[in-house]
Amino acid sequence: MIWTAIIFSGIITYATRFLPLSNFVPKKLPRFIQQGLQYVSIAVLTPIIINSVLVDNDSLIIDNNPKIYAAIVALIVALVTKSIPLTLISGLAIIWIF
Amino acid sequence: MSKISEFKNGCIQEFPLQIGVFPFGIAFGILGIECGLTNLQTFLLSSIVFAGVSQIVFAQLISTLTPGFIIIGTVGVVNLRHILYGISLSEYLKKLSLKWRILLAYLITDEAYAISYKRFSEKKESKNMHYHLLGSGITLWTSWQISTFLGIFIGHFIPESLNLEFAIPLSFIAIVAVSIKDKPKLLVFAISAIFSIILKDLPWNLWIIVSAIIAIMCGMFISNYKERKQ
Repeated sequence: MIWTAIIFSGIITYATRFLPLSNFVPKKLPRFIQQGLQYVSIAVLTPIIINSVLVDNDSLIIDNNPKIYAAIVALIVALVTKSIPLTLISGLAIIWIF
Repeated sequence: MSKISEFKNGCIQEFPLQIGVFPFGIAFGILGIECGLTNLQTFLLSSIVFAGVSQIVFAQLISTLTPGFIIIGTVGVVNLRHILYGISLSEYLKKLSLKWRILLAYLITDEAYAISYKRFSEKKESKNMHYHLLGSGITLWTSWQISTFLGIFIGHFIPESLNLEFAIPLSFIAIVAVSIKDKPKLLVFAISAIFSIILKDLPWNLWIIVSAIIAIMCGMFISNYKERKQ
């Protein structure tokens, strides 16, 4: 099952890379689709962040969860410094302290 | 410029970005093992899929026994952003042979796109400029494979209590924080977060893909509304 999922994930990922370079897709997509695509990163990364920070074994962990503090500190550091390394260090430091 | 100097420039300009990519690859290797993938599965994900965020989602979903078609669908949505890259690159690559396009498509990633699109759009056009993308792509590819390999290796030794794989959501936090540049993007972020929490109990981890799609559609609606108002 895992191998099938890996191969099909590979195929679908490659398709999103190749199709726009092929002749099958119009070079000008409708405007609303282009606009929608700009939001993909934020829309997709947010649930992944929530999954890593708030979810453990399929349930939401709100109480006694140091990852929440780490995420908040990292968010502030990211907004102020705009630096990925500093964000990583500050977030991990909070996890290690708790 | 000659093929070789385009290629070299691609490699050299891509190199500094590896400060971010390399630790990320290591973190992915560690995460893959922790999520129950085998060494080979973790390693081949980096060459077959070769897309960081998708690989992370893949590993996380596998660890909670999500059905394969949901995993594949979620990976598909995560990768929709490549379409934007492909469209803006196609202007420069459309004259190339099919063989070249098949190869270069495989190398389109956030980081190689960022570097080579800059070269395509800012400097003079040349018939060898696709070698720039080849150079940036191969540099990133090599660094991704080596760092994944290291992560798999390290993953078997370092204590779990160090929580090094937590570097992954932290770097996503940094990316999201930096990319929220206007109100529509802030709204998309908030909608995605709220729906994630509301829909958390949907079966098969469907909440990830469903909240992402709802947030994208709201984003389309918001920008459409804003344009009409102007």
